[in-house]
Amino acid sequence: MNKDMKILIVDDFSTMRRIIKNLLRDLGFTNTVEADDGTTAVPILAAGGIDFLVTDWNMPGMQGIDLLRHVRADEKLSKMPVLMVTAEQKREQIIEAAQAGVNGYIVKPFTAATLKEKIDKIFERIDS
Amino acid sequence: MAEGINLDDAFIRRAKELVVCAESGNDEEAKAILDELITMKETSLFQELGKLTRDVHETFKAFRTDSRITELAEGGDMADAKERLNYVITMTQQAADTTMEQIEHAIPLCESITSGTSELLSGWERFTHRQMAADEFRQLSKTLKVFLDSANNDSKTLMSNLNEIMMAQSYQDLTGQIIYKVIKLVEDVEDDLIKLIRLSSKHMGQVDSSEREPAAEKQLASDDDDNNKQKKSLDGPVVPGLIDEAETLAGQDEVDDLLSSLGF
Repeated sequence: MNKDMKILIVDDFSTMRRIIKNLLRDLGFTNTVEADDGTTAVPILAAGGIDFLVTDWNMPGMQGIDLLRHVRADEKLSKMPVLMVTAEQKREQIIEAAQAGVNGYIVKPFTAATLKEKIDKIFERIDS
Repeated sequence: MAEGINLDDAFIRRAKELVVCAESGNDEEAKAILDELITMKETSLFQELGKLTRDVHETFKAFRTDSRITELAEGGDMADAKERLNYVITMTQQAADTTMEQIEHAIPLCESITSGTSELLSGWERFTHRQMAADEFRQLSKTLKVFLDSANNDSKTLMSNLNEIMMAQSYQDLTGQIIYKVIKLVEDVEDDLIKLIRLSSKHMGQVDSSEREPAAEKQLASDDDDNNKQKKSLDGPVVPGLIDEAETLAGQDEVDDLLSSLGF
């Protein structure tokens, strides 16, 4: 796993973005950018250079699930690993995210250990 | 009042006859006409009152069939909102408690590092100024070793305290989502109250109905859309007491189990 990879953090609550950013820094990932919903994330993704997307689900404007579908539908982005970090924990929603092609799913509130575990798992699969 | 202006012809004719009778001294006839006029007046008053009662009834009937207020009251949305706000209090309390607890752990560690460094600094000053005997220097070395060991541990503990404090701040996101839901509910109630006022003023004839009616109708028509949106809206953080247990997973472990059953 490349620690220099560029990670886009998408969440409408700035506190949560800061928490994720700090946790990622603890894990050695310092190259992060932020967006406050899907609508603002799309142009950042389109500009290129993002290697990993961490997104919330419930956001104003474009929601995380639609951002995920957007990524999977875009030829240039479709292979990008996507980790969803959300308070949504209904069975049907998790199935929906899985069908849309999510790589990992974390429910809030979460711990630093959970974030590490899910990221490790995502990149183990990709690297293997 | 409207009836003051729109006195009907029969009333005016009889009133003129009353004046004629009174002037000609025909008291019997004048009294009879006066009684008749009072009866006419009372009849129109009762008719107005009847109309008003019917309007009020119609207003409430229309409101009841179209409004979400009964749904809010009977469907328990208001009770849910109270439950949500209570949970917000619980979460903010927990976050504040965690933060204070971690700070109270961290402060003595900072104090011990501060006093340790002060002591070593003064010894180090004397050493660099060659004011220290060999024995004293050996003692300083021992103190330094003890300090470095404990500072090494303390800074790790401080790091963990700071991380705990940081993670506790996630309450802001979770309570924010819950409060947004309650705000949406308050907006719905506000809309319905405005609708009630519009409907009642329409029936009371206090506003230009040609102007207000389409707005009110449009609002009623858009109700279905709102309800559909409501159904599609996300659940947000789990609030204890409001859990649909059949559909909601208990936490990260159950989410992991579900995903691994789906081949993740």
